Amino acid sequence: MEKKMNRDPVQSSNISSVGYDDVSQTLEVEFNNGGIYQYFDVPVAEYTELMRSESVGTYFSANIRTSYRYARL
Amino acid sequence: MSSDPTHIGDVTNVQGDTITAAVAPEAAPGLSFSRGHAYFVGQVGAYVRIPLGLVDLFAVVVQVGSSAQHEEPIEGTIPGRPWMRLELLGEAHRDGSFNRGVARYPSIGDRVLLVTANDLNRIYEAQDQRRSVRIGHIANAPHLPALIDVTKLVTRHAAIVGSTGSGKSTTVAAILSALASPTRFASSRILIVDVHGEYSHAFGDLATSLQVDAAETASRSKNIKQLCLPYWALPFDDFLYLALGAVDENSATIIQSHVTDAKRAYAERHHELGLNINAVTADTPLPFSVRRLWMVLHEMHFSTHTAAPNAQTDDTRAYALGPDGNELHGDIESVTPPTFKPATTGGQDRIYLSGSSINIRRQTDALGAKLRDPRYDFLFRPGPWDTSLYGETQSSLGDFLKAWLGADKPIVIADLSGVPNQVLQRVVSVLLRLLYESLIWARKLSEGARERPLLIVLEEAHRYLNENNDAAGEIVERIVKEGRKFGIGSLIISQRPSEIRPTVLSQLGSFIVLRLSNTSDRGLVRSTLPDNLSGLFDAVPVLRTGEALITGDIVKLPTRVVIDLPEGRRPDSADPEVVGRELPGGWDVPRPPQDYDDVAWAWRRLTPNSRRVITEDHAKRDGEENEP
Repeated sequence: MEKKMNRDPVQSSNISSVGYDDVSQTLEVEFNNGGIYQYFDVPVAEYTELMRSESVGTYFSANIRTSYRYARL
Repeated sequence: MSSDPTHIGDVTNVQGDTITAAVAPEAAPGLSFSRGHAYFVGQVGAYVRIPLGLVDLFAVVVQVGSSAQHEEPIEGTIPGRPWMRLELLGEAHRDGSFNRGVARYPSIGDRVLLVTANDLNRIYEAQDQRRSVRIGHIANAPHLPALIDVTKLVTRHAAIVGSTGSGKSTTVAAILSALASPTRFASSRILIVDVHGEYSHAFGDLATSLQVDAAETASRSKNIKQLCLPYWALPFDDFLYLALGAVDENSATIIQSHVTDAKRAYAERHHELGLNINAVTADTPLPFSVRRLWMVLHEMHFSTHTAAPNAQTDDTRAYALGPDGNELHGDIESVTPPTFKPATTGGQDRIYLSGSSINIRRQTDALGAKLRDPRYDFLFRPGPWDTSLYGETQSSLGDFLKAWLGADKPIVIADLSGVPNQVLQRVVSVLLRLLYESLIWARKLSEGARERPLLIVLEEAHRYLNENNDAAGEIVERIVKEGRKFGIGSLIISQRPSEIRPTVLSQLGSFIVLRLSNTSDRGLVRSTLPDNLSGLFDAVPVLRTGEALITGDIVKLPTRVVIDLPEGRRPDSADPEVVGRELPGGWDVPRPPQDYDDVAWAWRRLTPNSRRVITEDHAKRDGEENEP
């Protein structure tokens, strides 16, 4: 993956797209209301799991939302 | 009586512009239908129409009641029947034109009709639809668009006032995104003075944001540029205040003559400017080096000489010697002061104090500190407009004006969130003055604001338009008084209108009043409102969030409006929800890992962004700040 953060659109009730930078292990999430957040130190496995899960929103809430440090862009 | 479903009452009493009407029995307060649309009868704030031969009088319902509730029956009411009090707004003619004020009053028994979409369309369509933009819909009637007149908005000045959380930012975003719509207005020109940095993301590709600390901003947006305000372009008094603060007259004269000489020297080197040397003053926007000025001032105060005061020249300076035996001349570019030998009181090699009469030691030291302070770089090291030791710049004044007035985006945001608080008010004032002056001189040119008007949006205006600070207040007062001659308009946004100087408020042609809970603010706005609509204004404390009362030139009729939620992003000012939010954070979820070193990093850098954030130019910055 190149370093520029490209987000892929996802089907979810509150998340519209997700991107990942494997060099810095940064996960970028865009919410449906336009807010963009970067989560730091997210292992690649977590990202794979997120993208594979049936409901991205649910997986995000359960496993990522409160487990990693983040910053709003 | 009539079977007309729009017939809701009959005039029973006329007193000045206040009319009392008995509500028709078959139109008891509630819903009424006309042409498939539902209307509420007897709602405060609703329009009614009173046909009077060839004209229609328009009025607004300001009070409803039933006379049984009054101990003394109100004049003109029929006991037991509900009544409405109306205030006259104006008259509509058959050709669709609408005038404020009325020529004839209604008489007893005239029918009071609901105003339907058709009636309003007639008023609005008579005036060219192209002149207006939609910002929402009329309250109580979702199918009626609320239109505001663009020309009147820009040239007659307006204010948006409302308490915190009443929807000011939404309203601003709704109006500005309508005005900046590239399909409708290909060359609209809007400048937002944004002291909190809330708008940088609100308009996406429609806006260029000029930020003091653009380099620090880890945003991926190409729409963010460095904000520069070259000190040499400022009027001399403003430059003096920003650089040195309060200065006595004698010192000011000495500094002024230094600045004038430096500017004249520039004009002499640049014959292509075609300037008459003698016409160049300290106010002429020509480059000079502020760091050289600092050195001159420093030497005037602190230098010592080998000669008595009356024989002192540059060559008699007594520099101290460094460990390597060289004279310590200091360095102008890095603002390093020279060191001088201490003065002595006698002896063969007597060292004399400087004979200069200038006495602004403290201010000179403060200037040195400002010149070294990166927070002031936007002013004293203004990027390509920075002046070299020899008084030359890379970019011209024209490029500076182009960045502010000729951007390729309709909206330019002056994000002043990184400007030190002590000078914020003065910076706003100086910025507006520079642009205003340049537009006055461009009044005959196609770049000027007569040809391409400029709307200046003053966000959080009470912070720099208050009474005790005449700096920004003075220039804004000029803009609201004479700006329309030059095509410059202002849109003043504030939650504390009572803190804005009244001379500014009283010049505004229109008001968009959102919920205002503070009594003194309400009283002030009520007294400045162009339309005398005390009844309608009583609704202001109970307006819903995002609901506004619009009065003045921009609307045909004073209107209670529900503002459209703009599509896409909003300004960054929404209150954080403490619990139950959809987005990350809040009290009701476990907290994520914390890193207060990052907080300290951001604070030291004066940037709201994390050092961990990845940007597009990540590759370039890699290894500099990011941890492995």
